[in-house]
Amino acid sequence: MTTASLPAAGAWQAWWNDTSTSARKLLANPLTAIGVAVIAVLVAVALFAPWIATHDPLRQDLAAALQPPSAAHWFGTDEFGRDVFSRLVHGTRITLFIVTLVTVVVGPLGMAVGVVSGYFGGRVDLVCMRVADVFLSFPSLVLALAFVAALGPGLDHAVLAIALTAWPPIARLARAEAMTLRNADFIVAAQLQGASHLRVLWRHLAPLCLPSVLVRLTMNMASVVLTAAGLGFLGLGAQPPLPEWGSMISEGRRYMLDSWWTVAAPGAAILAVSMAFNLLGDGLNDALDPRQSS
Amino acid sequence: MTAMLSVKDLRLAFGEGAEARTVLHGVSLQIARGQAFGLVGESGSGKTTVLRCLAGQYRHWQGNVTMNGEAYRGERSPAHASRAQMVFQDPYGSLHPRHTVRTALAEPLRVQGLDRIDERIDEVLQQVGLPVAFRFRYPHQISGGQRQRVAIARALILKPPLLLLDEPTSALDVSVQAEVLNLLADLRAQHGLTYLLVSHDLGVVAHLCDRLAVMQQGRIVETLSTDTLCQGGAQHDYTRTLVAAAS
Amino acid sequence: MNDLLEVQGLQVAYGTTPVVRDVSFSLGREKVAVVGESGSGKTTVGRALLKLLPRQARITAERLQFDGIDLLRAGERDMQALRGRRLSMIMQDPKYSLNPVMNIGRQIGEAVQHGGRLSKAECAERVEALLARVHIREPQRVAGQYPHEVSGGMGQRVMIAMMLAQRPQLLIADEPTSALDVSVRQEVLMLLDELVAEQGLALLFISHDLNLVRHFCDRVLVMYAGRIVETLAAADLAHARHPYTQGLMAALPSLRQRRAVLPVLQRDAAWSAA
Repeated sequence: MTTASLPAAGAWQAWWNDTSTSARKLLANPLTAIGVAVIAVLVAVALFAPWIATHDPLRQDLAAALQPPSAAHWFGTDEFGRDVFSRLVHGTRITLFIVTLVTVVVGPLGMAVGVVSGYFGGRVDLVCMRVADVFLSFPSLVLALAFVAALGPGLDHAVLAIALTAWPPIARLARAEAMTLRNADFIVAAQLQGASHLRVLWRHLAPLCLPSVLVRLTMNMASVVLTAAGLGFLGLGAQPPLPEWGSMISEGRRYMLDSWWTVAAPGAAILAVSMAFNLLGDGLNDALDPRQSS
Repeated sequence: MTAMLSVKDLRLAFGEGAEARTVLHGVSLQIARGQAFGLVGESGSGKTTVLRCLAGQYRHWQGNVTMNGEAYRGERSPAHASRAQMVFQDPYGSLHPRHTVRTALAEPLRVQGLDRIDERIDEVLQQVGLPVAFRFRYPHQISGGQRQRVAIARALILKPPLLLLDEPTSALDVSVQAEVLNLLADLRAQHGLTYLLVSHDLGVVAHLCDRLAVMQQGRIVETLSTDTLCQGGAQHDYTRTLVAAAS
Repeated sequence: MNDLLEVQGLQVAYGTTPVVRDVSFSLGREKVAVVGESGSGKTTVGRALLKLLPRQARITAERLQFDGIDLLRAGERDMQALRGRRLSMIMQDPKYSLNPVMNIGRQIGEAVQHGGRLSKAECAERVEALLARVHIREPQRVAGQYPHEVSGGMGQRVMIAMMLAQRPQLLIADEPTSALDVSVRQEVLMLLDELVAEQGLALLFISHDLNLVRHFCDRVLVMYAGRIVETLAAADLAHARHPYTQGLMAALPSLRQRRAVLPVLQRDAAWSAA
């Protein structure tokens, strides 16, 4: 009986079945489904921003400054006559960029440090966790200020600052999971088969630490959005004329009382996206919880 | 004829200095090739610790261990993997929850750099009496007895001459236990394997093993053949207590 | 004849999946074992009597009476008044059934205070008396210890002491010796035996170990797939008539009867039907 062709199809099918069951469980929760939908809209808007935006986000038209929402300008205009809706739409790209960059840096870094720390224990653990403590003790905004002072203002520097303070909690989480699992029989079995430490960490331990790290990362995204907005608000993040939501609020502050739309629109967007990430994280937590799996 | 496994004066302590707790007080045993040897005792007797020392989980033991003629110092290497493998007690914990049966069985082959992976997997699944279609199941999709068979298959796939069995059936239902015990007896007869079986259940040990040693608080109190045991020839008081409790 | 516990047609289902099907038995002042493998529903039966099943479980029965009280219609408050006072339960592993952050004296004290307000001194005295009753030497010292500091056998005795605090009439023991060493098992069983004789307790002993119950209990109920397939006196187990019971008995590896191949249970679909 030849099995050469079967394994590939069977293995992917098994994995697909397993993943789609988890996905269905995830979307069964209405709140999570809403969160996923909002994030999907965010991604879609970011991808198709040039086509969705009605005007050029950077084009100034001082004659039409501070216009209330109308048919011509759906969310009104800001103090330079720029269309708020278009700026919002292009701002999704920046938001997505920040969130993705932070996650891509924080996720692997935090997991690597945490898993290694938890698996080896002893001095390795001691050193890694003290280093994590150092980074954990910096409030991200203060660190951002320091970075800006040293490197100059800019979105990249703000993201770097956020990332550097966001990885320790992920590391601690991954470490806790690794410590629980490192004495499990299946890990001992893998070691007994002669697998190197790297192999055990990569193929056996890390995949099991991933679910809780993913949940944490998703919930982190909400606070990343807020921190970036905060930095933008302080003028430390995205520099004008980039349509970053936080800096939009900062600039619109002065005109808030009379021209509420300059602040309300980006504020609502931040709220919606943060909430969506939180809901997704919550839902992921329930869906990936091994105690609830069949 | 050299013994398959020779353990001389195995000693192990945890902790240091004043807080040192000796767990093994000089354990010695010898298993000939193709023999099944049982290690019986209650919890805290150290029987599982002996097994873990031989598997390389604890390294800081003292004593003299030879496996298949070669000295063993507690390392965990691909070379050791092809000499001795272990079957664990808990069928729920011994398989990686996110690996399919195929991945779990392919892993030791990959670590050793062996080829013909799927062929070997099919062969070993047949040996343990599992249908080949099980390859793509996850552990939570198969029963406890089937999981234990997969664990046995995983131990056998590298064809090690020595198998370390840590209470392989104590977590299984009685009817499933009978099947797995029959399977272990068959496999040993077919492939000439050597077993070191640890159990608290004298009945299981008597079924599978030719000889056994009784452990109490880190020491072997008596070594005897199963025949002697079943004929009431146990000398040590503790052994007699265990026999009485099992009958 | 009015038995202490009368169960007729007990059914427990989770949604559409039945877990216990048409279970009927009665229990007087005797030791009855409910034996089965995992998934047979034996633990569910025990918990259904105390109504300690998760909310999704639906319990129905023709009759579920304890000492004249209709358990089926009893509300949560009525059940709370019964549990621990007249109907008690001890479970498998004292590591998990004792509170790890309270010392033993406090935990038994809670069970003692359940009945009425006692002064601290009276409570402590009662706790020590209970510990002594379950043959624990140095009761004062043990009362100050935490669950993780005592052995499994002692932990089970502590559980029995807690259970005794209220002088129950019916005790449900769910695999009480499975987590214990073989030599300790006998001691705990002997203790239970003593208490049953002394206090006229009715004992429902849930276990997977046929060998254990045949020497300890008076009657045995064998369960398979949610049904009782055979009811017989423990002494008659060697002459069991149902093939499942016979199969279970035969499948045990025994010291006295060594066989090259253990007979494997051939499951018949008919056992779980009708």
